[in-house]
Amino acid sequence: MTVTFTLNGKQVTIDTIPGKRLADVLKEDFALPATRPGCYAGVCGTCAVIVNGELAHSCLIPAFAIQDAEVLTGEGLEGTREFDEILSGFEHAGYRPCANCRQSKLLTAYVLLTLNPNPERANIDEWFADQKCSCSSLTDIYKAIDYIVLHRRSASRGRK
Amino acid sequence: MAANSETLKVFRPRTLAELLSLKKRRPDVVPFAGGTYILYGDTKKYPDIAAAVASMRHLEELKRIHRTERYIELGAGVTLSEIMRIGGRIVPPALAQAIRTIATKPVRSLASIGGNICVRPQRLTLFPVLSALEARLELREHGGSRWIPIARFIDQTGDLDISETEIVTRLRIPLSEWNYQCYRRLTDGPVSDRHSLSFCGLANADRGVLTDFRFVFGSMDKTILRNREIEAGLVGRKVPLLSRDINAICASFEELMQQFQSGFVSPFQASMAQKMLRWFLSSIDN
Repeated sequence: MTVTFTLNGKQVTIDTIPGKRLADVLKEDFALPATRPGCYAGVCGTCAVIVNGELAHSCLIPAFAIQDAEVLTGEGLEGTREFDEILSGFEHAGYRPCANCRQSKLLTAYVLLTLNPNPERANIDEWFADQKCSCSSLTDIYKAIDYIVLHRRSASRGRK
Repeated sequence: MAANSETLKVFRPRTLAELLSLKKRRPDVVPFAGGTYILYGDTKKYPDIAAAVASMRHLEELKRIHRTERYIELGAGVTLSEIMRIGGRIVPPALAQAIRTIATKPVRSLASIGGNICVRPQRLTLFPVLSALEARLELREHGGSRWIPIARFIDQTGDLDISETEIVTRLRIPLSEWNYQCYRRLTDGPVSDRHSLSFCGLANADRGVLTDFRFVFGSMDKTILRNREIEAGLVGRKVPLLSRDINAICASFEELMQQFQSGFVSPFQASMAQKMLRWFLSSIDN
């Protein structure tokens, strides 16, 4: 079946199997390596993408359901100021998630900070606690988010 | 490849009227909202979906939220994330607590409230809390509609009481004030399984007297357990409840549970249900 949707800001049309998972569409039809389907069951979170502004597991979305949707992956956000701030925040805080969960951690931080520029510990827990990767702890994530928040605050004072 | 991944027939109704007309012609078509129940936990590369589905993601009529002083009305396609965004001040806290226990945020951004209550093989997380809140459902089909209390959405065998041509379109949740409300779920993971147990308790007390009380258990099987006689027996008692009142209620409840022990609840679940009820009764003070 033919499915048309917006991928990283560009409208794309594919001829695909209706039940194919979005995670596989991104990997196989568009060769986007940042999305890494892991469990195929909606549990591990490594295939996270942003669909219509919401963080979602791409393994839980069949191709037919992305008709007219706006899909953003890590590749699509690269180069934007917000995303670069998160990247550099991770670096400066010494937080280096493994290649497997890197995109999901970055996208989660992006969505969290978009919705809530000053998240408290409980907010961070709510967003990150379910991400099951042993490469990093919540303490690492707190440090990284705190760094980004402080950096953004001082940058915005500088702009004023 | 799963047999139906390639041959899956997908309909994309643009309006509710189109969907209802489709269901009249093709009752076998499965409405597909978030699809999380179907895909969650299915680890195959190509998941088994259904022979024919109607994608409901474009039906704005099912995504509306309407609030009055007395109730909040949610379209069946409203996602669990959207409900949480409305916020705890409007959404009854017990409902918000229940939603928070469902899977993870990225899953809740896909899962819809209608999907949560329309799963046929089992009653999922929101059923007990919506039952306690006495939500009402609008069921529509081509040329007609009806509103029913959620308690009447399941028949005596525990199956959903909905015809093949009907779909749930709206849920109306009363915004009554409750001094005490809680939702607890006993489970060993983010997804309900046959060992799960959930409990919703609501209570009002005024000048030291219990004026209203509801409790509902769900075992994640097909049955929802609520007993209005036991509830009514508590109304009018002084709070905090005396130990002997609590013991009497728990004993009545134990009898009730025994009727369901053949398959509905395990002895462990029955014991935990007793503890949850006792804890809730004890937490009601003045």
